Amino acid sequence: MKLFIKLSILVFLIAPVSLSYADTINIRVKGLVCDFCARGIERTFKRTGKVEDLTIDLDAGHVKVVTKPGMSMTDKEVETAITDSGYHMIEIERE
Amino acid sequence: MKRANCCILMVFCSLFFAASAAPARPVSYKGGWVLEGKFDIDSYWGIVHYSPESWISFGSRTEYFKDGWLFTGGQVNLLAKRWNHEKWQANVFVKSGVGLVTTTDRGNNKQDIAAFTGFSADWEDRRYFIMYENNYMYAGGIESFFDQKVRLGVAPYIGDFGDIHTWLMLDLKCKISRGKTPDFNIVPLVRFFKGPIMAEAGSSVKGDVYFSWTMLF
Repeated sequence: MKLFIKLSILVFLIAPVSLSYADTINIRVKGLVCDFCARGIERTFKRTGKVEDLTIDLDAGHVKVVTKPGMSMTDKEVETAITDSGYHMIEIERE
Repeated sequence: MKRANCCILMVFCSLFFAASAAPARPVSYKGGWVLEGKFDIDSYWGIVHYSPESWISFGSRTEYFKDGWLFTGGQVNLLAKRWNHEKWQANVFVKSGVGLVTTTDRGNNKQDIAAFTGFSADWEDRRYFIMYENNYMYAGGIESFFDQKVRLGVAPYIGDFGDIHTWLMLDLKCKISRGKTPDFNIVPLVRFFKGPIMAEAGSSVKGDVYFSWTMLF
């Protein structure tokens, strides 16, 4: 019984932490020169249902994606989203 | 309702439908829709197209030419080649379509099969834009022409993502119609866009008004 209570407490402590975990993904993209065309990146990522926030830096050719709590995107998913938007991915970094 | 009135109604419905729309690129992102409406110097038109992939789109086009004829049909656009560079992007698109052309002159209504094809090539960075575009339209016994356009653009300021962006542009146009002398025109225009909405407005040196709008969704 004591073990069960300890495990329950542990689950209660860990679960919120893991559920609130969000990926912050920094992506370097080639061809990112036009705001209007870059809307495709915004739409494509948001359509996955996993993205909480997305910012684009046209000067740096940089896309920053923050996933919803408890969700993440694989490198392959990120690259597919960039390619489907008509751009070319250079590299991914995760914070 | 007479056929001419129906044609005019179709054009206005199409333009109204497209009024919340208009494109920079004939192919959008995968799963993207584009609506476009344009009051060009020699025609009014509306287009809606869908891109199942980022290299192809299918659309419907209605275009009323001020000469008195109407084109309605389908259009396929291909992104033949794209160069994505860290500081610039360049594209080659091929655009083709088939449909019906109808004259709208009272008492002289004719209908025929029509087709068009052409390509465009563009290069842009955050400051400069250059594009060449051509289009050959065959409209049966009613009309045929070959249209070419060069567009030059410069951004007076460099905006961030989400800002209102402004471009000053210049269209150099040449239209060669069957049995007519080539028609040259120059159209200075201003392009604005913010978010998924773009609008362009200008006037040719001959006084023709130009206006277009595009929406992505």
